[in-house]
Amino acid sequence: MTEEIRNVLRDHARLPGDVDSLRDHDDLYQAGMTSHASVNVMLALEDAFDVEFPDAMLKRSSFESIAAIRDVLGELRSEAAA
Amino acid sequence: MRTRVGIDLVAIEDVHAALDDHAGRYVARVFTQGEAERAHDAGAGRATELAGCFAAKEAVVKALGEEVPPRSVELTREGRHPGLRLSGPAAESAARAGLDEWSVTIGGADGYACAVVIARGAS
Repeated sequence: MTEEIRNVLRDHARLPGDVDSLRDHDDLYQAGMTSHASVNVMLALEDAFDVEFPDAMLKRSSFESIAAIRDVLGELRSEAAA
Repeated sequence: MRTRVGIDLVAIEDVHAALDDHAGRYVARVFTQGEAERAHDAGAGRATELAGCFAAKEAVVKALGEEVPPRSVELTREGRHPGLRLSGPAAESAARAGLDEWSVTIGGADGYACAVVIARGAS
């Protein structure tokens, strides 16, 4: 999952640096991801993982790091499987 | 009198990318029907119009100091002047913050759209 998240960030987050150099808990916004780029990331994550982010999860904190994204995706997948 | 300010800058190329990659789903998830229709009517200026709308939404979030779903903030056009309509979670957040007067202005240049929001309420 983490590698797929990094692929999405590489293609859609418009980060100026190398995605592979980011640690899982590094702040993506401080790394250069804009608020609109996080929308592009959200939509790409939905495609990549076949999930849909509810409105309540469309917040900055959901996309602030690779670890945060992984946690949110895990939660969505658990809900879908239940 | 309490006053809060928010500002945001959006690269129009980011909107183009979202339209190219996700088109209808992007518009449906982020924008209200009114915003989408106005952007559609803008023709070649569609991405610019959406960028301004998005910047206004983010500027409102900064003025509120609390994140709210994007479609609970609507950029309206009343004649020549833009306006804001808050609903659902955004309206509730504004009420909690005691903010009941909202003003917005939209601008842009060099591939960017910008929005500035001023919110006021009784202390």
